[in-house]
Amino acid sequence: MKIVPVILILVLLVFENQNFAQNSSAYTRFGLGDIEYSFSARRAGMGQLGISVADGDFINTLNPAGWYKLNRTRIEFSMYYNGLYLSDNNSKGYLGEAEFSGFAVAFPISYQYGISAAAGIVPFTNVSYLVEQENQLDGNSYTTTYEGAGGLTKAFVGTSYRLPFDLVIGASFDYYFGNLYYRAGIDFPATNSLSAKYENKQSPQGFGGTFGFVGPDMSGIFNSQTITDFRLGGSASYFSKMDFDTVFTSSTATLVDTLFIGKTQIEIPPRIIAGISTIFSNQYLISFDYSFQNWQNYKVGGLNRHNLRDANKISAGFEYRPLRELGSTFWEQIIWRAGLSFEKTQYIVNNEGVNQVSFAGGLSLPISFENTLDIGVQYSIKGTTASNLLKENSIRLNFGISFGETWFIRPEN
Amino acid sequence: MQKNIVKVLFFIIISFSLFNCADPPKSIGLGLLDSDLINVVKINSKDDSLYQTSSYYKKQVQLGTAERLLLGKKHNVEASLLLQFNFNLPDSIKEDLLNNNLNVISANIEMSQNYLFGDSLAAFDFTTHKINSDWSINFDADSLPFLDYDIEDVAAGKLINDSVTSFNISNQLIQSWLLAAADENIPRDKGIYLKPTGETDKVRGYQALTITFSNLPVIRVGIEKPGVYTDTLTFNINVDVGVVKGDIPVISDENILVQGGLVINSRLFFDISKIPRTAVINNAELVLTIDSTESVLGPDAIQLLQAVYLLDSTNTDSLSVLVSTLSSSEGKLQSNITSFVYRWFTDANHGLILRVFEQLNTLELFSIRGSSAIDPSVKPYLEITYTNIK
Repeated sequence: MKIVPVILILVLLVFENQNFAQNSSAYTRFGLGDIEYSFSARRAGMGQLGISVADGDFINTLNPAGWYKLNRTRIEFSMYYNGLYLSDNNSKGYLGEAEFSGFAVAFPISYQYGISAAAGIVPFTNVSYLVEQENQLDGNSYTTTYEGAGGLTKAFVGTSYRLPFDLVIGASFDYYFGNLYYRAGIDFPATNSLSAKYENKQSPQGFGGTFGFVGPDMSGIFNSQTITDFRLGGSASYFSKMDFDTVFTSSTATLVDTLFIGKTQIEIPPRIIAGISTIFSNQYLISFDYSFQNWQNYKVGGLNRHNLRDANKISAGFEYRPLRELGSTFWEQIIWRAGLSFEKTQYIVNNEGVNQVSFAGGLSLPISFENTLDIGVQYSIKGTTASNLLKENSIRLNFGISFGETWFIRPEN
Repeated sequence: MQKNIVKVLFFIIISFSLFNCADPPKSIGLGLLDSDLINVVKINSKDDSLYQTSSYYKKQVQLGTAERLLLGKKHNVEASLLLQFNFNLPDSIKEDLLNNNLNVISANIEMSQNYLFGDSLAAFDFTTHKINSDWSINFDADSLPFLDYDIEDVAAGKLINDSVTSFNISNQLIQSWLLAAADENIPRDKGIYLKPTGETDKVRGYQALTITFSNLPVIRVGIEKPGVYTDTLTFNINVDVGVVKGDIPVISDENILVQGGLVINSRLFFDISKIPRTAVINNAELVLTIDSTESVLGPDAIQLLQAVYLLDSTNTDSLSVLVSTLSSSEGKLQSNITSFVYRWFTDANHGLILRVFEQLNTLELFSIRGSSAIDPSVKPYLEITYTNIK
């Protein structure tokens, strides 16, 4: 394995914490924030889902069954830069932020039986907004700042297994944790008045599980040598009732005062994803997916929350993977991707649902044998300026590293 | 080439992670944050009818650590002082004294003035008496009736101006003091007591013994060894203490008093329970109105008061180190007391104490419009700015 990319990744991890700007909007104030479907730059270039797609050189974090084809130990890291152009009826602005978006590691155990194990830490939701307003009181100006940060993170460990008739199942044990920060503050820059800050810190934690399957190859129904690997796939993610601690504090420069401490539980509705994929001429992959999660039933302390509705997403992805041949040049080894998606997000504000359309593309560059640098670009349009809402035009650049090693691989008997 | 391309891409990735470019934050999305909105509120004791009380009291203080010695009479106060000098003699002088070979031919005490309370043209005089009883820097007005001193005035040839007060003192008295300093078997002198005469109508202040050791009272003693030499010895002050006695003057029922020297302090209390529990104090300003008709301020007056955070409402001596200075302007005294109100709000509210700035070294009398003033515009005024959840 090349040491330089590893060092560079570690540098990214170190410097990630210095970037605390904004990468989303005030929509993330509702529920648990934006849903992060996939941390991978590969999936970002294909519309983010790809539930029925199984790669031998990629860790599918949405469907544990998709690990059955892994032929090497794989380690994957990913980060993204999000450029967001926000607008409402009165103003507009640009924001940009880079974030580390997770890692995963997987080991093939038995290729014959499709047994692989995988683990990782990936983002599940994201809260990120920064709103500032200038005000005046009796001639003294002050600045009010509202900020949201944090999100829910998923740590998972799971396995896959190939049943007879080429049906593959998989399961992962998931642990969800994280902190959601909602802050409001006032500063008086021109005077010696004390600043004031309020922070609502919510800490959900709990367990869940993801169960998935990848169906047998049904390409035979087309009776075509061009079409191969036509499969159905699906996954269901369940969430236990999660502990939800809330600490509400006020503070100045010198003192923090706890105003409220609360403990309750939240209920996250299950998420169902289903899809189909097929390969043409051994090089062209097409996938279609549908995701559903009834966020209308999201509850805090047994009570439904406002501003949430059921979330639906459909996506289509395309991948061109050149055949591996001896003597292939660097350019001939590049994998190309494209995708698009339409999402009815879980947000409904001022009786207006917030929808998102995304267009994506990407590629994987060979660093060395079985190691790739993955790049994904996703352009999204979300929301509207009607009904006093926000419109987001964002472009997300995803970067990922995928290392393939022969660690822990035993010869098959 | 593959390696170069990869390296360039890694560089680009690192660059993205390190550099964010963004417009300054704006108010886009503010309408979605109803549950988090906060705002700034301003209240004051006049328009928002904050309950307040004020009172004043006389406090016995010891002026032994004061930086100034006060002498004179004015208005409601009378200031006197006790001095004892340090006769640190060389061995040769001691020997001559013990052998009766040395005579005191002159003795002059000089004090440097640095303060005046009253009209500079007003009458001023004092008498000087030999003290017979023991005293220390803890001497105060309550100790005065028990002070034993000679009736005789041992001072003569006074020269008094606005810079220096000097006077001659009995040679015989000084001779006895020098002998006592030379002979261990003879009790040391107990110094002199200076007190104002009846017609005095102002108070002068002189440099007291402090760590600065400059411009202190001195005694210059002319000595003669007959047929041998004459010389002048200068001795510095060893112990000094001022005593101020007086009564609280009669003032308007609507006013409160603050005076130095005597000392008179005031207590002020504002009820801030109207401020919501979830608020954060941003700023607090206190404004007091001076009643110039009842105030007595000398030409050297530093028109400053101090507000001191009170720790226990039942004990006016329970003062915090938290102090704020009120400065004077156009008949008002004003100070930022944000830290006071912050602690009242987060801790316990026992009010504050008002005292004269450098209260041991001045005699200024501030008459201030109090909480019982009929005109609400002259009552003590407290304006508080706080942040709260909408």
